[in-house]
Amino acid sequence: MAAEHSSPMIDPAIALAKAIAGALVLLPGCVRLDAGQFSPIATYGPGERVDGIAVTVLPDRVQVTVALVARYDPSRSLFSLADEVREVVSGVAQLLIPLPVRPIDVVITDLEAEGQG
Amino acid sequence: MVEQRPERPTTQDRSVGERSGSSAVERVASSVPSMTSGSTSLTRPRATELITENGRTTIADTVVAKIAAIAAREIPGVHELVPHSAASAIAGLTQRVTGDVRTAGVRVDIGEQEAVIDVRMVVEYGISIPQVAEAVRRNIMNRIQGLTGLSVREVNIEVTDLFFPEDVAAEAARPAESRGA
Repeated sequence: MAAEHSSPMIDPAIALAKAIAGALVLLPGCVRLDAGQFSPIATYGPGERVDGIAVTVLPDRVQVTVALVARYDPSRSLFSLADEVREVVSGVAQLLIPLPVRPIDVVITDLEAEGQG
Repeated sequence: MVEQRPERPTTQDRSVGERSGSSAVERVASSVPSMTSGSTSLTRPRATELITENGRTTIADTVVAKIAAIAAREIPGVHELVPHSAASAIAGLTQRVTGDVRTAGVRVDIGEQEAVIDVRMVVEYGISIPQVAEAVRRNIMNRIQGLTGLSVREVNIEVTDLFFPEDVAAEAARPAESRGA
């Protein structure tokens, strides 16, 4: 009974959120993940929290919302960045969880350019 | 009257469209996003959305404003952008209350399909102001359309001052306290 509080079981939501966060920082179009200011997008686990990624594990599928700050790139639409994010998320999720990931919502909360806040 | 009103099924009024028995006044109020005073409009940032089969892509209004600001600065001859008012210091607050976004001299008003952009800027002395203004307008429209898919109906440009590059060269040689700022 007491083991419930210090369970060695990994929470799939927080594990997936951390893996996705690790993969997304490698995307050139993504400056950083950002929880956003209104209704924070984050995944919460025991003693930790991943900002900018909300993973909800449902019985038949996994629902993911990603919120990020985009890098300004005039040659690419923000929607193509969003599609790239979706590919990364579903790629990572397939390795970790045997459930379809749908939908993957992408929120672009801000934009940053080189040498400018 | 009710039949003549164009139906625009968007995320905001989709649920309203289902209710056929609602009065005309109710429907008008509900189809204009700025008039809806529900809690969702305060907790959720106003944004541009694209709904695909794999999920929704949301672009915050701040992003549109920043694209406009960067696009304006990309044009040679634009010296800097000027904040719209002293109140821009508390822009974060006004943005939350009124729903308009001010980012460093850019004001953005985004409707269902189109955006209106107001820009205030200082240009360098010696350039053709109409030419530069037109270039800024075109670049803002192209960048916003290209990056967010949003079409820009108008870009209103206000040139508030001239910048003389020679002044800076002279001031750089003088001590800092003599600058009027």
